[in-house]
Amino acid sequence: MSNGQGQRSSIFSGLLLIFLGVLFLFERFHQEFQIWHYFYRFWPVLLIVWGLAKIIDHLSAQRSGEGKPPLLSGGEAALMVLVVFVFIGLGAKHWLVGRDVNLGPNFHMDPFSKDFSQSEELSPKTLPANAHVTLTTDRGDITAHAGEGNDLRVTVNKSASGSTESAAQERMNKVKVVIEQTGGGYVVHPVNQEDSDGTVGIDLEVTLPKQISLWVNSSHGDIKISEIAGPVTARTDSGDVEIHNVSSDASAKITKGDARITGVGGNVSLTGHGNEIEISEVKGNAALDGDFFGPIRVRSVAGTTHYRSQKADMTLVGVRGRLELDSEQIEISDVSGSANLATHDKDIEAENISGRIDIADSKGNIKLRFSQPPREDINIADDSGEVDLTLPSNSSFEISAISQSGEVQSEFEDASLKLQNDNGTGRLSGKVGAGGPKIHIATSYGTFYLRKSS
Amino acid sequence: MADSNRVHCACANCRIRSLMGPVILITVGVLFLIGQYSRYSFGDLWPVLLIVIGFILVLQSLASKQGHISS
Repeated sequence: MSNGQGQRSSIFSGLLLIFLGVLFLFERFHQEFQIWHYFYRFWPVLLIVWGLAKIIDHLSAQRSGEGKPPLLSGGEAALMVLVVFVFIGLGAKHWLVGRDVNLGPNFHMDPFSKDFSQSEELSPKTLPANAHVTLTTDRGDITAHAGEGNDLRVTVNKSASGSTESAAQERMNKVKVVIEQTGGGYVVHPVNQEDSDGTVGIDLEVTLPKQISLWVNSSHGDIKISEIAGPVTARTDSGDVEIHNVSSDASAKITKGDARITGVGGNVSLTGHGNEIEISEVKGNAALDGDFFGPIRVRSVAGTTHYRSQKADMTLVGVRGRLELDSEQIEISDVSGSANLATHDKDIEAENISGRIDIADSKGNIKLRFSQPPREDINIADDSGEVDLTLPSNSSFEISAISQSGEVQSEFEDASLKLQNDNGTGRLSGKVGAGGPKIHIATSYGTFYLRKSS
Repeated sequence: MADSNRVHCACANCRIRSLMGPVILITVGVLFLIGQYSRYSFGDLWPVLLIVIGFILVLQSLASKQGHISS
């Protein structure tokens, strides 16, 4: 038995637990908050918290004259290891989900309950032309496609977990799916979907008349829409969205998951957060607004493609080829109109843009290729990056290029073209051929190459 | 009882430490009750437990060990 002033425990494990608690609580109530991504980005904050905790320990030990706790005690080390394992587990789950490995609609912690399902068909309802239809479920997938005739047909697949089959049946029997006629149109939705044991899964398979407008909403599940003539809107808080062959506008909001939108007669609008995005064969404009981890693939959009996120802002007129974008780079090919692009920390590779080009980047390399002589102005402003411009040998243009703390190299030679590399700064200016579009390049800490293609 | 001879330390640090068990029990109980009677389940609310434990650990590490008796 000893009497006196032993050392105190450190404040670190307490702070760590509070930090984790707040993080997990926040995640439960903000579906779009993906804890794994934040840990991946902000794990060094843990080191800072550790350091701060040690300073607090030191100060309070000094003030009271007691012994100082060690830098990392056994308990704290164990807790740290546990935290790292939890996050690796979360990362693995995220990876599995991202890879479309099906964890089941009722993926949960209770080892004793099993999943059961049953299905039923609602009696069909005849809709007037151009009706507005809303389909909604709190958990479950929704598939909507146009069929022959004017009938609305709904097949309901219910799924619920329970320790016995009869318990699960009872849960499913309490849920009724109804078709309601409201002032604004028709609404198909489940009643009593949520009970004390959670949420009963309700999948809706719906056949609709072609001439309607559609609004589909699932809080937790995938949405598929095809062959509808009127405008369609899809919204899911957790799941993928697929829209195919619709004749009017298509808009989607996703929070986690992927989106595939192909064959749209009108405009496409996509907002939210998510992973893989694919948009193709659009007759109108395509607008993407949000943060998608990518890759994002856009192919064949007749109108204007507008993309806006925290890291990039771009407007491309007439993407006949494709636009591909991920966290590292942007690739663009065959654009019939102008391209306006502002980003940072990304490499850019663009081919055959017919219209005016405006590019602003920093800490990224830019590569531009033309198979036809450029007809419109090119403006490139880069900071800390290489710029590589390849033009056909028969091009004529007017150029002014500068690379601060860098170098300029040119394969084009002309009496009126002046190339200068001194004091660490490269400059190129003058005309090639009869002159023509103005090319303006400004970069720093990187080389500007002007190349000639045969 | 074997325990009757044990000296119970009454320094601030140990008093807070002895609160840990009961407070965890109370929190778990309250969370399950909330789970029964509201739309939030225990599965939604468990991080509150981490926050409570962390809070007590912080209090404990800030409490003085003046007069601590270790047995």
